Amino acid sequence: MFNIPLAHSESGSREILNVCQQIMKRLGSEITSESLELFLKNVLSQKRPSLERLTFISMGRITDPTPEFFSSLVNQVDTVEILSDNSGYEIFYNSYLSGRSIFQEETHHSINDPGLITASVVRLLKQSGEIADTSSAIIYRNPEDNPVLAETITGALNQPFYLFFERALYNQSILRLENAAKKCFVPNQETLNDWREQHIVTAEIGKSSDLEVLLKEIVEIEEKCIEPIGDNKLQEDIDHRVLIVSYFSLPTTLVSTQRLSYWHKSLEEIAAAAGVALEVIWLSATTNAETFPRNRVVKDRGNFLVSSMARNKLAKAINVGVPSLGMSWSDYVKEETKKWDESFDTVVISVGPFGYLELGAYFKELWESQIIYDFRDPYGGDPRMIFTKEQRAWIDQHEEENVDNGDVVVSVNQQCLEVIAPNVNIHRAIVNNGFNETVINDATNLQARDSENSEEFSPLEKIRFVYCGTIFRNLGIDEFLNALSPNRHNLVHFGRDQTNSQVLKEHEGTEQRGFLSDKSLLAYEMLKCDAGILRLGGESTTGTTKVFDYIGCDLDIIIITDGKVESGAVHDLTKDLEGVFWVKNNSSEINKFLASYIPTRNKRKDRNNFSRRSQASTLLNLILQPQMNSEG
Amino acid sequence: MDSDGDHQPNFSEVELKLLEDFAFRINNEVSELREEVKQLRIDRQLRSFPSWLAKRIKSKIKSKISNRTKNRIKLYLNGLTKLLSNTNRPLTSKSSSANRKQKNTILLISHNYPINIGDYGGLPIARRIPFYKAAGYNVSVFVPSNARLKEKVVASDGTTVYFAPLSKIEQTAKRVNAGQLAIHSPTPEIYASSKKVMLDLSTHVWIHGFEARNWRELIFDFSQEEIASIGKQLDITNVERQWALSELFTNTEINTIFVSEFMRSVAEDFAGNKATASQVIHNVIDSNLFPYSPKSEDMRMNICSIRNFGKRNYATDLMSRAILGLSKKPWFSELSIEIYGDGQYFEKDTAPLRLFENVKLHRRFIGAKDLREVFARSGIALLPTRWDSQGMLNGEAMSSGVVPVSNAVTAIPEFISEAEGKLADPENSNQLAMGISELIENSEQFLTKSLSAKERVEAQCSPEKTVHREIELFEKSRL
Repeated sequence: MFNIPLAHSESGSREILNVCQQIMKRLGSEITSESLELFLKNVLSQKRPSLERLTFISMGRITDPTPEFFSSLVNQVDTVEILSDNSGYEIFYNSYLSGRSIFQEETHHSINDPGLITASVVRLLKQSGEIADTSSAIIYRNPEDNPVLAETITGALNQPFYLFFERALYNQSILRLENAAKKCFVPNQETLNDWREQHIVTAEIGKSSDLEVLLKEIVEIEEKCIEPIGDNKLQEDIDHRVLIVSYFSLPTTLVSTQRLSYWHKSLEEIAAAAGVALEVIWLSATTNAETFPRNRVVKDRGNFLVSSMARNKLAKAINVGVPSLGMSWSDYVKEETKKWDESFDTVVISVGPFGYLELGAYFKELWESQIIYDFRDPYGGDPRMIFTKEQRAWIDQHEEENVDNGDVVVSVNQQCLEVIAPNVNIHRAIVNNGFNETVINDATNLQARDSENSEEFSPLEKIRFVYCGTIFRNLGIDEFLNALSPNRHNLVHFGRDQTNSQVLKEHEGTEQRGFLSDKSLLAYEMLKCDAGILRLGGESTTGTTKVFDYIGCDLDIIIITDGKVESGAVHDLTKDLEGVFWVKNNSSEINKFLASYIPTRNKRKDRNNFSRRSQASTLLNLILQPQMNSEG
Repeated sequence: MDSDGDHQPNFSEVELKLLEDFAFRINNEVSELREEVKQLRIDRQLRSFPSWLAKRIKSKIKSKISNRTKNRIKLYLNGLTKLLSNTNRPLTSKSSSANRKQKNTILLISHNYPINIGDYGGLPIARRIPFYKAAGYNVSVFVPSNARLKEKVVASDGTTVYFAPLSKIEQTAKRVNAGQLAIHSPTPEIYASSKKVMLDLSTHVWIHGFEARNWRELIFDFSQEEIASIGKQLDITNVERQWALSELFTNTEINTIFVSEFMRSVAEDFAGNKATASQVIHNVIDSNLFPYSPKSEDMRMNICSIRNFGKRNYATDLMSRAILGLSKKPWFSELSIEIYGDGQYFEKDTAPLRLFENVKLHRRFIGAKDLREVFARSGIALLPTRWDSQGMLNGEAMSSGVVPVSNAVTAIPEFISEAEGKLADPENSNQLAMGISELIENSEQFLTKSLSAKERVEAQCSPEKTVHREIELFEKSRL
C-alpha cells in the first residue's frame, strides 16, 4: 500500500505524528505519541490483523477519533452512538470502508425498549454487510449505562466483544455481560479496586480511546477454536463421555468453579488409574473458557432472543420474581447442542444459578444420558433466601419437576441433600469439595525446602490465624479481631471484605492481603499459620470449601458462629477431627477462648479422606455406576 | 416484492426474534394493564355497593309491605313534607328567594386548605375566599380525607373546612345547604363522587396542573427505581384522568376554568377534548397582601428565593447553580441572599452555598405575612422552574415590585416578559445568573423592571381580572 522506504518513513512519519498529536490534543483526545507511533507502524506494516470488521458501540457520543484511526487498519469500521433523553433514544450510525465514510444514518426511538432498539441497531449494521459472515469484534463503551441493552445488542450481534466501563457497577445484567465478554476494562486503579470487590471476572485498566490497548486486543483476536465435531471424530477408545454443565467456568474468580475445575482436570486421570477411558468436557457460558482445552462455550445472549417456547416460561419466572439467571442460557444451550454430532453418557449439571435445571430432561431425551445434578447450595430449601409464598411455590415446583428427571443428586453435605426436592425418590450422595492435594503437596514441599535453606530457624512466637475467602456483609469478624492481642496474635486475610471493616484495616495484629488467585501461593501462606477461621451464620446447611483447605494445611479450625455451637453441616464434617474449636460470636466467649487457646500443630490421621481426589473418586463411582451395573 | 410491487422489509432471523419478543411482552403488559383497569372499575363499583344495596333492600321491602302500610307511610311523609316546607327547601328547587339564598352558599372541594397561619398547602384556593365572602357568598370547604380525626375545623381565616371521605360529599353539600359546587383540580375519584351532586348544583371546575397532564411530563421528579415500580400504576392513573376530564370538558352544564392559556392547551391535549364551557382566569394576586413599595437601586443587591425543595420541577438545583455562578462575580459578597423552603433536596442543593456568608438558608416554609416582609426587603426574586401552570410566587413578588428571574418554560412567559423580569432558557442556570448580573450591573434596568413588574401583575392578575370574573360566573349561575 505504501511504497515509502522505511528509512524515509521514519523521519517523515515522526513529523506527521507530531502534527497528528497536536490536532488530537486540540480535539480533546488524550492520545500519546507512543500510541500514535505504534499505530502508524501497524498501518505501514505489511501484516494486517485477520479482523475484517470492528464495531464501536457507545452509550453516548464518540468524541475521540479512534474509530477513524482504526478504519485505516481494519477493512470496515462501524460506529453506533446511542443517546438517550426523556423522549427516547437517538441512534447515530456511521460506517467506514478502507478509511472512507461510506454510510451515515440516524434514527429515533420513542419507545424505550431494549429489544426494539437492538433490532434497530442490527438493521443499521446490516446496511453495510452481514456481521455473521465476517470476522468481527465489538468495542462497547459504557455498558453500565444500560446493561440490559448492552447484553441484548451483544447477544444479537453474537460476535466477540470487549467492554469498557467507566464505573464498576454490579448487577445481574452486568454479571451476564462480563461472563460473556472477551475482556473487561476499567479506566483507572481506583475503579479496578472497586471492581475487584464484587465482579467475577478480572478486568484490566484501559480506555477505549487508547490505540495501544485496542491494537493489542485486535492483534490477539483469533478465530474461535471449536473442537472439531464430525462423524469420524468420536474417539473409539473412549469408554465413557462426561459433560459437565455449569453457567460459570474458569477463568472467573468464583469459588464454585474450583470444584468443577478439579473434576474436569482429574476425573480422567482417576478413571484411567481404574482402567476406564473417560473423557470429560465442560460446557459453560463463560466466553474465555473456550481458550482452555476440552471446554465448550454457549453464550448467554440475554432474555430477548430466546425461542418462543422459552419466552413464556421466562416471562412467568420474571413476573413471579424468582431468580432467573440461567433460564435464557438453557434455551441457547438446547439450540446449540442440537447441532452437535456427538453424545455423552453422563451429564453432570452443576447448579447455583438454578435457571438451567431443565437441561437434565433435555439431555436425557437427546442422548439418553445419565443425569447427575450437583447442588452446590440448596435451592428452594435454602434458609438464607427469603421468598414470598408464591415464589417459594414456584421454586419448589421447579426443583421437584426437574430433579425428578435426574438419576442422582449430589451435594456437599447431608443437610443440603435432605432439603433438595425432598419428595422426589432419587439416589443421593455426598460429594464434598475437598482440598486440592496437588496444590497443597507442592506448597508443603516448597515450604520444607525453604525451611532447609534458611540459616536460622526462629519459631513463631505469635499465634497466626488465617481467614481465607470473602468476609460476607452479614458475617463480619470484628468481634474476633477486637479480641486479638497484637503481642500474641496475628491474623492474615486473603480475599474480599464486604463489610469494609475498619478494625481489619487498622488493627496492629492484622494483615489484609487481598484476593490471591495463585492457589499454590495461598497454600504456601496458609502453611505458615496455626489456625484457620471459619465464620458461620448458624444455618445447618451451610458448608464451606475453606474448611477443606484448612484440613489440607493441617491447621486448627476455629469456627465462629452466630448459631448453636457444634451443629449443622460443618459439625457433621469435622466432629471426628482433632483441633476443631467452636466459639459463639460474642466478645466474652471469644476473649475466653483466646485466653486459653494453644495451637495443636498436628497432622490429622484421616486427612487424606478430605482431599479432592478422594471426593472425586466418589463422583466417578456414581458416573460409572450404570456402566458397572450393565457389566455386572 | 409482492404482487403489487410494494417493497416488503426483509428482516433477519435475529430481528424477527427481537420483534416477536417485543410483541409478546407488550401483549403481556397490555393484558396486565387491562386486568388492573378492570380491577379498578370493580373497586369503584364496590364502593358504590352500599347505596346500591340500600336501593335493593328498599325495593324488596316495598314489595313486601302491604298497601295499607304503604298508604300510612305516604300520608305521614306528606304531612312531614308540608311541615318542613315552610322552613326548608329541597335541594333541587330552583325558583324561590330561599333558593337564591341557598345559591349564595358555595361548597368548594379542594385537596388541601391552610388551616393555620403559615400553612402552605391550598394557599391559591384560600386567596380567593375573602373575595367570595366580600361578594356575599358563604363558603365551606370540603377536603377529601380518610385520616383526619376532627371532621369539621375552622381555619384561621374563619372558613369552615370539612375533612371527610369522598363518599360524604353529598351529605356535606346538604349539611351546608350548598347551592353551587366549586371543584379545584378534579381527580377521577372526586369527579365520580361528585357526579350526583353536580346534577343538583351549579358546578364550576378549576384546572390547576397535576390533574390534567401526563405524569411523564415531569419525569424528572421520579427516580429510575420509582419509575420501574410505580410507572405502570401512574400510566393507569393517566388513563383514568383522561376519561374524567374528557367527560367534564364536554359537559356544557359545567364551567371549566383554566388558570392559564398554557394550562388550557395542556389539559385539552391530555383529555383529547376541547372544554366546551371554558375560560381562562388566572389565580388572583392580591396587592393588599403583597403591596407595592417602590424599590431603591440598592435593593437590587437583596435577592430572595422561596422554593419547595421536595420536587425537581421547582428547580432548586438550578437555583443553587445560579448562585454558584454569581459567586464568581467581584460584587458577589455585597449581595444579600435569602433562601426559604424545605424538602428532600434541601441539604443536597444548598450544601454548596453554605460556605457563603452572605447566603442565609432558612429551612422552613413561610406564610403570607413573612413572605410579604421578605419581598418588601428584596429587589430580585430568583425563582427557577421546570414546570408551572402560572407561578404564583412570581406574581406575588412582582406585585411587591420585586423583579422575577425564572425560566421561560411552560406558562411562565404568559406572565413574565423581558419587560418585567429575566427569563432563562430551560435548564440554564448560567442564564439565570447572567440575568441577575445584568440587573445588578444596571440599576436603571432594575428600577424599570421593578415598576413594570408591578404594573404587569395589576393588569393581568388583579382581583378585577381574576376572582371577580369567577364571582360573575357564580352570579350567572344564581339566575
